[in-house]
Amino acid sequence: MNTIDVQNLGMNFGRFPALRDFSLTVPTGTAMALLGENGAGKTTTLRILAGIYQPSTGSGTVLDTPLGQLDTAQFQRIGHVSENQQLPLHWTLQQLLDYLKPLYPNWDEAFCDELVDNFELPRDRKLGAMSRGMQMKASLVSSLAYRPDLLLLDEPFSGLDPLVREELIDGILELMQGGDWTVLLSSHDINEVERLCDSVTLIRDGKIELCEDLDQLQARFRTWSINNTTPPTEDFPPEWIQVQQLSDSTWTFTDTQHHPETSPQKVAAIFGPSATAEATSLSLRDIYLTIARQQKKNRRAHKQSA
Amino acid sequence: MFFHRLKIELRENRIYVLLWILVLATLTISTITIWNSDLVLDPDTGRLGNSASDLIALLILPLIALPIVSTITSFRQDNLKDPRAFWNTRPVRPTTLHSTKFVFLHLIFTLPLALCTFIVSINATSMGTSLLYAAEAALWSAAAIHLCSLCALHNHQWARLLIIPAVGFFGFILVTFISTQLNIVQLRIYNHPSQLSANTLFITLGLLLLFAIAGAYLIKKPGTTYPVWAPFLIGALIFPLLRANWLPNFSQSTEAKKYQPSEPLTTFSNSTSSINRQYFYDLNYPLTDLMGSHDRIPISLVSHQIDSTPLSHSEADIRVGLKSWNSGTDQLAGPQNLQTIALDQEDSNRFRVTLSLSIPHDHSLQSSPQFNDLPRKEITFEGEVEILTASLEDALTVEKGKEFNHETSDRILTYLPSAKKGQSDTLQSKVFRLPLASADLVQSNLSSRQNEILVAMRHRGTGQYFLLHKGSSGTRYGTFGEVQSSEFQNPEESSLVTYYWKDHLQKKFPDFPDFTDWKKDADLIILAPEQFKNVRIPFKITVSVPDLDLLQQRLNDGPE
Repeated sequence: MNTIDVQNLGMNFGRFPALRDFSLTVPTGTAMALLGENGAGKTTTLRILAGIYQPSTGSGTVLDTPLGQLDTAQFQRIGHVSENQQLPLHWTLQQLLDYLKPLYPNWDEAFCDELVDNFELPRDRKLGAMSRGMQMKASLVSSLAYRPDLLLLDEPFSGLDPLVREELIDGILELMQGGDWTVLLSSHDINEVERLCDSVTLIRDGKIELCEDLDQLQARFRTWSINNTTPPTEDFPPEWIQVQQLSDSTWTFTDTQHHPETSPQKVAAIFGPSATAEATSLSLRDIYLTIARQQKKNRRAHKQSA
Repeated sequence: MFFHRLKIELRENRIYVLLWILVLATLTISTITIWNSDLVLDPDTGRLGNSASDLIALLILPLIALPIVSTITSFRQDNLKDPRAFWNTRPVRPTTLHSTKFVFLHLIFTLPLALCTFIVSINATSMGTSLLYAAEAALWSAAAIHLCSLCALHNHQWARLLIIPAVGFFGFILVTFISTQLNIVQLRIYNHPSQLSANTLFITLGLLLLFAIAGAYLIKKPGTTYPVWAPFLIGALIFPLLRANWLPNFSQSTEAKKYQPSEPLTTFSNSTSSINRQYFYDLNYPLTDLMGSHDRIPISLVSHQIDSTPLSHSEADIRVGLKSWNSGTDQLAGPQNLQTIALDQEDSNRFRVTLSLSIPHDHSLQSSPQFNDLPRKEITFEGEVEILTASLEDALTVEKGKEFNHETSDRILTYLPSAKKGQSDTLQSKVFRLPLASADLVQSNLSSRQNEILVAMRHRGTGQYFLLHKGSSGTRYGTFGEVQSSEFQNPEESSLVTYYWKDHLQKKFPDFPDFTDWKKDADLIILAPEQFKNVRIPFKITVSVPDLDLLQQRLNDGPE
């Protein structure tokens, strides 16, 4: 069962296409991260899914409700936290919570108190007088206290210090362990994403470049270091990227289609049997950087050829 | 949900609400204060007022600012265009969210404004008219709130720019409102109650509906872009200009030609002219200023239209000062400057002064002459006021709510003891409500015809009459039916002027009735013991008018 299921979404701002042919499925109970450069279309995607924007093209459902028809009943099941969200800064946290409480039939007062205590938030301080980290925590509390089925987080860690990030992540992880929540998160903080998410979607220029389960992604990416090699006997396969010759007998590259059985055979075939090859797994951050660098390189090559 | 939102709105805007209450209370009290106090005429500016009216003028700014700031603050917080708005992903429908705001703003601003208008105007006029005033205030305020909300709902730079005409519109409305309030206060000297008319109400209602529909449409379809709704705002900007007649007359010729002196003035000088009691009211003559032993009539203010037809084809409002003729200002200006001065034949409620500048009709001034900027000359008129009096008995026996009519050869006297729908604003009815003052004066001029005059005041609540009987044997007063009679020895003390009841009578005579309630609710009428007599009061009035010689010179010089 999918909490989010959208197909062929397109969104234009004037002439600028922010999203193109965007299809995404997020199964219920999973956490997915949206990764991409600035302006890639992450926030636009989240806003479409939150019902803030109407897509120019495409269709789909969120919480089994067609896009554009989200109503009170759905918003009572959606938590949306965004770095750009304009909180009522002249309210205290308590006023904010008092305002929201009657709007949500599932509001869990005990849970709310627990969150406030865990985040050590002062209830009687105005939101405008809180630090940015505290505001994000307050926003998170106000979006979690009713135990939403879908949590949309748009750059929730942006500008936060490491301690606050840790607290936020721990908080969200703790919550996810206790319920069947679906989380869609956009962030540049890939280390945090790696801790939180089950799957990753990489967006570039409004299009999906990659959408994969995090474990699978990490399983198929390996960085190889080759020593004592003879010159390669044949062309490198296209799935090997970032190939670099460090010295006469030393090479390094990233295999984007690693397989524990076939990949060593391929390496031996190309670099010779005397070569010593070592494959190391990559963190999500390294995978992202590898892909981003390769894309940049491809773009440059494309420009030059053009 | 609705009340929850309402509570939030109240908390959000509590400062504005408190300030608004303060401003409205001050406005209401000041206006009622003016109603109960003398107004002073500034002879230079022609402005009528006192410290309370000055305070009202000061209140215009917060009156305009508070609803605007409050409306814009309220709607901007949850505007439709900003994807960052907090309410976007909360379970609140935009229709609920914004309709609550409208309800709140109308509850806080529109309703009290209408209520205050009603409270103030009920002092001066009938229930029906007061309701109309209140309705007008409510409609204007509501329209303005909807207009401001249209701008604030859209967090767009052009929308923000269009807040300027919205503010202007609101300002115009409230200035009109203040002016209406003052008009209500001055009903005693105005013979037509403000600019209120059914047309105004319909137009305002139309505007309100237009803005409300536009707002509802935008809330429903937030994607609506600037070109769609901007015409509403532009229309709102143009509307008050049209209503206020501020748009220039483009058909007016811009070339000035030689001025031709007019024929000598034809004016009235005796009782044969068509000057009667109505004359004073047409001049907005404050009869309350008639005092004591004067054998002449001091007049402090008029404000009336002067028809300057030869100059342009439109009428111009000019303040004409009438000064006391015993204050040494009886220098006559050249009568050639006036062509006619007479009652409007078509509308007996209007008095017209026609300037005698003969300019060919196809030519006119480059711009309207600024009459108020010109030095003034004074013209003195002499004549008699003819007052139709009613029989005391007949007037007293007429039942409340029923008309009391008497028709003579040339006029109809109508007296309506209490307000009745459709009749309350009839001229004669209003005439009777005006406090007519001096028994001395009336008697002195009646001496050749009658030796008694009675002034009666009717208490609307109890139906009792207070009578002042002045005759050769002295002056007596009492409450009709339950007479507490005593005699005045000094005729000076018999001046029976509304604003001097206490000062002149109650101090001298401790048992004199307390007229606090009477003053508010009474119909003060002047009655002669005989039935339907025409009483003539001679008068001499100096009118201060713009120096037409100078105007003539300017005309001869032509446009610069």
